[in-house]
Amino acid sequence: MIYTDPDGNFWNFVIGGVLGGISGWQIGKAQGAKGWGMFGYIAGGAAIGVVTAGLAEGVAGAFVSSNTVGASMGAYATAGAVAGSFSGAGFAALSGNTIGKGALIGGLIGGLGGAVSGYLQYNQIGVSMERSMANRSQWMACKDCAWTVNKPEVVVKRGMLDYGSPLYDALVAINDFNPLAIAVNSMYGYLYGRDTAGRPLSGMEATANLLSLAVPGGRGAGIAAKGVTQAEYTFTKTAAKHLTEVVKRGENAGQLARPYMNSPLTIQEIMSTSKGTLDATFKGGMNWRVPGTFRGSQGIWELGINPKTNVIYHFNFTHP
Amino acid sequence: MKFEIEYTGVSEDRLLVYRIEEYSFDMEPWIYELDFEIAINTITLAVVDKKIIQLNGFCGLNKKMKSNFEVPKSQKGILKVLDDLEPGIGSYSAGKEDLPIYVNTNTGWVCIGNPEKKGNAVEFVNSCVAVIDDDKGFVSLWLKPDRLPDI
Repeated sequence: MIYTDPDGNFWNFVIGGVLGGISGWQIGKAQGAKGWGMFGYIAGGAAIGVVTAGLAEGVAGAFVSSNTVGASMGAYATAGAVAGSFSGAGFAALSGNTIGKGALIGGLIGGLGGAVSGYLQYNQIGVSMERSMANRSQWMACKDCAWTVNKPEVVVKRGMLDYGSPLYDALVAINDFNPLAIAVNSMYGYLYGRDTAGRPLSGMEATANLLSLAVPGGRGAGIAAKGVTQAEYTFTKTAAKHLTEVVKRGENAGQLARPYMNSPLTIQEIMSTSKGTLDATFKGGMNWRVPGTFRGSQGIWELGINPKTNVIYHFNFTHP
Repeated sequence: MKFEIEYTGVSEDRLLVYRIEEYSFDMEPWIYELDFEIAINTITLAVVDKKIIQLNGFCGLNKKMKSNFEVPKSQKGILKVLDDLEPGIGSYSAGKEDLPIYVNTNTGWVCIGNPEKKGNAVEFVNSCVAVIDDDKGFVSLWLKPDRLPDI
């Protein structure tokens, strides 16, 4: 029998084990452990990390259809609380502290972090699934777009609580300090070159983020490093001409013709719909064609970009 | 989409270039105001007062596109869009599918569309020729930039 792991759950256990081992090493170091004693701390921490990952996975998985924001937050909060309690108790025991206190603090932190993760997951996955269902007939009718997945709608304007809104971005930023989210996001960074929110995340940044967990105060350094290497998009001279073009007449007179070119989030959303297709000529170029809306009009987002250099050579919204 | 040609003996005075490092057509000078755009593959043609005044866009060229097709004889004039299209909501594709591209490295002309189908040809911008059939439909776009890449 061959076991497949299409969701990549295996990596959650690996990451949990590695992070737990690092925490165990930190505790062992603080306790002055050496040799086999240190090995015991590392092994104990790794075991706690693996079991914690399993608990989080198992409890979250029990809530299969979290199709409302409340259900999603509840599922992830419960998973976070259970895993956090176990983790807190385990590491408290390892470091000789009160187990009950460790479990309580771990549970609270895990539950809070889980609730935030649940909110983010719902907005990114749940809403796009709802949109996908709502637009299924349109998608199926669009033969040119049959290969696109997940996000049939790429919208420019958003409400306060919508995916991509300032509040949503703030919650994403808070989650940058959630160890579980850091681990999962790093895994996504290694595998897909972006985090679960669709933001570009290189392997180097992912490694820096993981290492920052093991160094006291290192998370701030990790965030700072990420800020320095945060992807900026640049345009070819030809494409850049459309950045400042203005509509002369009609309802949108005086407005930019392609305001979306100034929206990194729109670019990231388009890129998050699929892996894209390799361009035949532009070096390292990948192309996306994604159905969506712009100024209330249905059409196709067309994006051509080199994801390594973030150079955009084509970005347009067209009506077939 | 329907087009109309008005032969005036004058075409838009621009310099058509091919940016080899960007794999794209571009032109100078550039006007930053428009009503809407027509898209032919990834090239966009800007429309002001129904007239197509300029174009640019990504267009990768490779050796598989090499051909010996000759640019049709044309006269200078204006290429107009007859459709009443709403400005500011994106570009409008001239065709339902991506059109084939042919490069004649001997003459320096690039053809996007059907090079063999006959029609009325107009040079609406210097070194830019459009062929429109009798039903006012788009047939092909011919471009001769200042230089072409080695393919």
